Amino acid sequence: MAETITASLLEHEFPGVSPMKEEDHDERIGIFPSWNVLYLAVVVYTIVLILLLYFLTIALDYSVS
Amino acid sequence: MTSLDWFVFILYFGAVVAFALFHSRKNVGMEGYYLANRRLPWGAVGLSVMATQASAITFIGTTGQAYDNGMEFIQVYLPQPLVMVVLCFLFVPFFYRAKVYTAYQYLENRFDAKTRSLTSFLFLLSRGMAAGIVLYAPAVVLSVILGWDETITILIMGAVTILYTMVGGITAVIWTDVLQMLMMFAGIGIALFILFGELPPEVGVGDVIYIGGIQEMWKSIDLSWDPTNPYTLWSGLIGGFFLALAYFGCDQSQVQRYLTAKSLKQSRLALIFNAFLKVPMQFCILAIGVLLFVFYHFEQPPLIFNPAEAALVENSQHGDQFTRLRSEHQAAHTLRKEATLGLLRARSSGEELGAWRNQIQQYDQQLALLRKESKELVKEVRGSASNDVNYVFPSYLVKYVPAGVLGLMIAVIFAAAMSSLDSELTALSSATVVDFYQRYWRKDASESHYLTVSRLTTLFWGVCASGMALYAGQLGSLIEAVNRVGSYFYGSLLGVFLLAFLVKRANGTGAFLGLLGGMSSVFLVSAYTDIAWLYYNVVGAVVVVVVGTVVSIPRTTRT
Repeated sequence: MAETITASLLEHEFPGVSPMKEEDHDERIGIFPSWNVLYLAVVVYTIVLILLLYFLTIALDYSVS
Repeated sequence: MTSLDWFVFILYFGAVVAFALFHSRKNVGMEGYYLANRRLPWGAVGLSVMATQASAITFIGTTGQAYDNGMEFIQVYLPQPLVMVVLCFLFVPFFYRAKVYTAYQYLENRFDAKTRSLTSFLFLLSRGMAAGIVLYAPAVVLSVILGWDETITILIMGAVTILYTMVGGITAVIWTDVLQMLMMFAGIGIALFILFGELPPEVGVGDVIYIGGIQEMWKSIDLSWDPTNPYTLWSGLIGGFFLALAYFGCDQSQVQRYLTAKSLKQSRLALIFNAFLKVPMQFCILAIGVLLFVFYHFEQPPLIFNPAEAALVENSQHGDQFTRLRSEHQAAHTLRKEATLGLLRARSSGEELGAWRNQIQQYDQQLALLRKESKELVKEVRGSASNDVNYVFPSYLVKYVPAGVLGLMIAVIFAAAMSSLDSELTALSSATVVDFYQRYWRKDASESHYLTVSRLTTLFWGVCASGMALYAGQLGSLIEAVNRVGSYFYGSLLGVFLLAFLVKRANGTGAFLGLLGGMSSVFLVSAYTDIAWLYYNVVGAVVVVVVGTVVSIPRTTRT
């Protein structure tokens, strides 16, 4: 969806610039079947990082007994 | 430094310069000088993106901040992976396919010349100042380690960096960044390893974690909602998101990096690489600061880490008072050390820890108070706030790391500084030449003419950065200073790009007036509210989009 919006805007604003190619968002990126899945993996990774840091904050607080 | 340290330092320094000069032969024309003919692989671009952001300030300022305040600074970096995703699907395709040299060049295609010129000018203004601070950081290290005059150090560092950047262009800069970033990874690992090794033999990893935990040094997430505090999860996620999006999406020093990639896919991979690595790297750097905090439970920490500031107060009318504070500091440290060793014995024998923990907390507070009082004295004598936080890590390096390693660590700090400064010089040069010189003055000159002008412009900005660096010492914590300077403009710049990408009807007048409105709002907010500086970017971006949209709609309707 994001790719389509970007391509549409790009075509509108730059008639001379090629719009986004279809294969751009369908292509396989390593173990990820598409860019969108890779982006989703980054979002999940960020959430996991925050949860992990929150766990460290709680578990390693020895300021009170 | 020992002879071995000097050997390691000079060997590394020379290798980097030679490596950069070697790559200078690949420069052909302006596209070669500024964009490496768009043929670099994602790994090199990704490391260069990381190296550009991770300056010497990252090593010096961030470790010092963690020593004083723990891991809370990590919250500012948490939205960066998300920012990389937004860049990949929204920003990069526009820039890459438009075949522009600078981010601001795109704005003329989308809006008009005045919007391009104003945004480019703002970039030059803010980044020119930041470049000075980047140069100042390693000069701080040398002033502590070698006793060199900061002014001379700044001039020498500036001259070397200017030389290889001027000759080598972006190709040399990016490949040098790769080398320097790998050195930084090694440096982080070595620093953590050595810090553990310097602790008393009876202190294990669990003890280190426990001692840090007594003062909540591992506290990485603060869920409180306080817009005046930049170090909460919400300030980090909201303010940090806008700051990072503005930096990576609108700052030519970063945009220029991913424009050099072979393809759109390679540009995106470079950013995704950063999405996964940046936060863990920052965590390790902050952990160095917390380890230093634990380390100084067993070794006497200086009351003031900057020896020049300490000497200044000692020789002033407050000398007696400073000597008294130092004696009290030493006594409090001795008691804290005894309590800490008592706590370790209690931990190993399974006894009650509460009494020991309370004692350590009490001495910690006493030591912090004495340090605060001494900083007040420094401020009174010096006439400006103490920036002692930036001397914590260098001071440790000088006194405790073994011969050879010190030279290597200093080289790493220099690598960090040079890899940021060289990127900024090429970015400043490209914005000046492409957005102003070529746009308004000489539109149809030869490639060799532009190449010569590009090199001279790099020299010009290098000289300006050196000049700015001479005044950077008057600012507070370096890490905050750089971000604060950017925050006055970054949010508004981001607003203009968001307007361009997302508001189809937005026009040049709307963008221009929106930009002025955004910057005015940021100045008003900073002058009349206590809101944390991280939120300035949010204010600037939102005001630009709202004003730009409102101004554009009636004009579009009339036409």
